[in-house]
Amino acid sequence: MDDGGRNEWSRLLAESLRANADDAPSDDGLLSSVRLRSSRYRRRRIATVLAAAVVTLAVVVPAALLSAARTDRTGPAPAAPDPQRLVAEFSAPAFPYTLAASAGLRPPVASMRDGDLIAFFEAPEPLHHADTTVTVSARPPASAGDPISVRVRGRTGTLTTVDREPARQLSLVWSEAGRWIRLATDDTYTPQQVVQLAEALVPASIPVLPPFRLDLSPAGLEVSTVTQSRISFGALEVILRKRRPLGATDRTVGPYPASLTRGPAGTTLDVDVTDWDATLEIRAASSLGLDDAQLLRFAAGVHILNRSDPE
Amino acid sequence: MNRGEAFDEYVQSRGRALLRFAYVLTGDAYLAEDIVQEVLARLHRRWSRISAMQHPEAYVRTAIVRQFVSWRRRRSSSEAVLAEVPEPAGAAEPQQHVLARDQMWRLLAGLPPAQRAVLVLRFYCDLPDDEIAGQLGCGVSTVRSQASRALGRMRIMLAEQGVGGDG
Repeated sequence: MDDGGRNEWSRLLAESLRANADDAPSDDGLLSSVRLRSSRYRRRRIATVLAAAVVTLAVVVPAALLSAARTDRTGPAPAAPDPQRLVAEFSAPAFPYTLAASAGLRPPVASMRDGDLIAFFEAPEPLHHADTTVTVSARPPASAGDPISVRVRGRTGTLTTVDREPARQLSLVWSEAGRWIRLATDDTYTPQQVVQLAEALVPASIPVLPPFRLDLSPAGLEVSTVTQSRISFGALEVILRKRRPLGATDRTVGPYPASLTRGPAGTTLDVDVTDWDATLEIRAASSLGLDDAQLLRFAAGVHILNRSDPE
Repeated sequence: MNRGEAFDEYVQSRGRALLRFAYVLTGDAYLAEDIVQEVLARLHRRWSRISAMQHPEAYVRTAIVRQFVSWRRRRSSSEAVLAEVPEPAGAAEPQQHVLARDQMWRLLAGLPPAQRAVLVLRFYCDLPDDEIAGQLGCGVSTVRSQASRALGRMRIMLAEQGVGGDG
């Protein structure tokens, strides 16, 4: 192709893009949509610490189904403990630190991912304070950038700065009491202020707020993930997803249709929770050894809380 | 003006331009709307810092491009080999000109996201290659090779379909 041909292509391409740009959607309502979405993300971060008045939706297995599945027919509870695989208890984990009020950040919201406990401290205003996340882990966290050595809480820690837009990310890592702690924030704070934040951590017990109340939990398994949409025990996982079509349903959980699918890795129970516009997915690994009745019984004890947020 | 007012003013004054940009990038009105909303919602909280940057609009557009490329990454596209192809003939006639323009638009839809992004930044935003490289987070040579491959691929598709074909 000669220069003339190339120029013709370039001109046509530019004209095509500009002409078609006129078909772009209108910006009517853009600002309100953005604000709505931004508020939703903020709610996700803050995770409704104040949601004490919990409205629950009980996903209850019908009595007839329970009778068939339950070995103990005398108990009135809809989800009786299973002596083999399920126990009638679930205790949510707790984050072991908080920041003193003088740090200028909001009270933390705790969660847990893959065994790591995470506390998010939101900054009330972004000029002098920055959102800060503290992670407590059993293993040393991965770090990027060139770390520098600092003294923190009487120990040696490493401070790493990574260039990002719109703000550089600062990460301070140290080990204490047999666990690794990582404090991550941005360059709203100086390195000295980051160390001061770490010094301001005090022992506490900040409950990780689960998205569900569980009547039962798998015996011998520890919870590893608790977010606004899921609780995972590794081999048993409960996930609240945005509603999706289930196709053929072959079970009923309370008033809701459900679908049970078996595969080589395990069994999945999907419950179409229509009034939450969500699908409750319960995945049990084969290694757990739950039969269908036990899985349904477990599902009966999953109560979706209004602080949950489908993923 | 506080942070909230500044953000609102930006969205109201630049929202349409961002939607136009996202639309030519994605070729899909719903996806364009979703990406612009997503990016602005995520930047909202940090707006005071972003607006203090030298080129906040460039930062927003970069975020849109990266969101698009990230969204499309899951949908892999195979790349064609560059070959000699015919010129877009008949563009001198007004009707043919419109047809050729429409055909360009359809050909763009067949490109992998990174290649499409390069062409949009070069031919819609009129950005030089070094700025495109900055926005995409890659080297200038990558921008040039992506542009070359994109144009080559379009020519191949054009040759296969013929000018004025149904696409």
